[in-house]
Amino acid sequence: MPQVRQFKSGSVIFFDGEYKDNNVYLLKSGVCSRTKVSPSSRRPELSNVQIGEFFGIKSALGNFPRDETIQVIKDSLVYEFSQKEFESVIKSKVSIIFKMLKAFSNELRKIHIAIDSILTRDTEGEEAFDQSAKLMYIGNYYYSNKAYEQAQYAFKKFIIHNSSSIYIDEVNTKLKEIESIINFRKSGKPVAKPKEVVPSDTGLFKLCESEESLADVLGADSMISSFNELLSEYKKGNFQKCYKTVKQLHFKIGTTMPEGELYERIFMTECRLAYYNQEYKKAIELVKAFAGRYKKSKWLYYTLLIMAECYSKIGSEGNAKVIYNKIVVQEHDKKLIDYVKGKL
Amino acid sequence: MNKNLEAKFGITKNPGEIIFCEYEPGTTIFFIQKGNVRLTKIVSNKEKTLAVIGAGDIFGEMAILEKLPRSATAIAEDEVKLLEFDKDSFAQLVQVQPGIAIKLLKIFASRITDQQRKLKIMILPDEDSKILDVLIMLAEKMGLDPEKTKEIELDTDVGQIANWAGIPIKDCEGRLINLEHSGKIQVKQKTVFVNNLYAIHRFVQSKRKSIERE
Repeated sequence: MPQVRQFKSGSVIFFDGEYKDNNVYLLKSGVCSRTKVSPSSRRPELSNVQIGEFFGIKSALGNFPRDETIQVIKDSLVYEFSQKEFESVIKSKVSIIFKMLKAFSNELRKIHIAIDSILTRDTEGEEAFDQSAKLMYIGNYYYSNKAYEQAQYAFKKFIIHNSSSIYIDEVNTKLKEIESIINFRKSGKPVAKPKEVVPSDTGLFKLCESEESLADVLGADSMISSFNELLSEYKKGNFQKCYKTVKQLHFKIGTTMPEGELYERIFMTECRLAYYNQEYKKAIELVKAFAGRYKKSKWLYYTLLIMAECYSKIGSEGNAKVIYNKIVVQEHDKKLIDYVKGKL
Repeated sequence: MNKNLEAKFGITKNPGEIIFCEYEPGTTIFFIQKGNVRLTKIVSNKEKTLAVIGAGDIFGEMAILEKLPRSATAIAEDEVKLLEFDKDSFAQLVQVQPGIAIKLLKIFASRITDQQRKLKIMILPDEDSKILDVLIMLAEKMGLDPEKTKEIELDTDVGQIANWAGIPIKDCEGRLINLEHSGKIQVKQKTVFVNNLYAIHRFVQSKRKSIERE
């Protein structure tokens, strides 16, 4: 049972910062003032405790030092509850509990706002983070760490909450891939790890989208038609199939690397697909071979670009920069220059 | 626990399953009946574990009063049995299990106090003062009186200090090195040793008084 206590005008029931007991008080009669430092204005705010109002709850419940000073203005009578007594009293009073929850959450919100305003003031412009894409970034994190179920969860939620985002297509593509990986795993077949061939850079992919089919350039031939088919599969995004096909073509052609635009394009495509498949070192070697053999090719700089992207992916930023700079000074292709300028 | 509650609000999650994801808007609160839940955040492209909680704990509580993006990811560590409530169903729960409501009040109370303290740290004018105040705060959390303590070893790391001070980790690292050179602290692998907490406390107090005067 709570104690009834008398306090004379001028006395203090507890001080801000005091760490003595975990009592909770209820004002029965009289006048008491509350002095509390507001989180937003950072100035002490004065208010009156209402008759029938509990005070000292937060510090009591959490076992913290008091965060306000309660001073008696007119002689007062207070109920003094120990922490246990207080808990058993409010247990059955749902409306009081909800009132307190609401009061706490309002207080918490005010503090969050005050903290956020300081943080944004201090770090203005530091992180230009696309707020709406945050869920997608979480999904990307899990995806790149091969935690596919978690990535699936995050991507699905992203789509639900951002249905008009510019990233929707990209996320849907990844979701389809994740589904097939998960299904493949569930099917219980021995894990022959399917190579995930996905463009790791949509910029490079878009740059190559407009390449013409060779029939327009060289006329019909079985190797040409194979390559045109390859090109159309590529534009559809069926990279697995493309990569397999181009490797077969390469094998057919053999080690000689013959003259002609057809062969240049075939080898360049192989470089690019190796890059998409994240086989960066292999792609770099392929590009070296290409550059050595086809020094005057009009595709030389497109192919070198692949090498630069590979260097960047494996962390050799220095090498990447050297190549980007080479590309930027060639006069062949403006689109290429613009793309590379964006990278530098 | 009431079987009725389980039937109405119970959900099960398998190990590794995400319960909710950081940034996902949410309106429900969870109570763990069985198993463990890991709370993580992705910071600088690394997944950091904030806490691992178990049976009897509550999480996701911020969403119960208004729809907010989740501030962390909650993942089932093992097979987990949860009760999930929204605002209305939570009100029903409190009628039956008031102990949970009191638990929630305590959680909020400690959150508010932590955030109030964090705010006090953040309004200090320079990064060194902020870091020093974080060290004082950590000692206070251990139950120590900074007015009466000289030497103390604190269980903490750069990341935690940077978070409390509200400054970038790289800056924090640099500042800690300087403080070490000036002899105020010693930074060890998983702890920070403070040579004279009382002196630091007086220093920070005077900083506070000087900004109050302005």
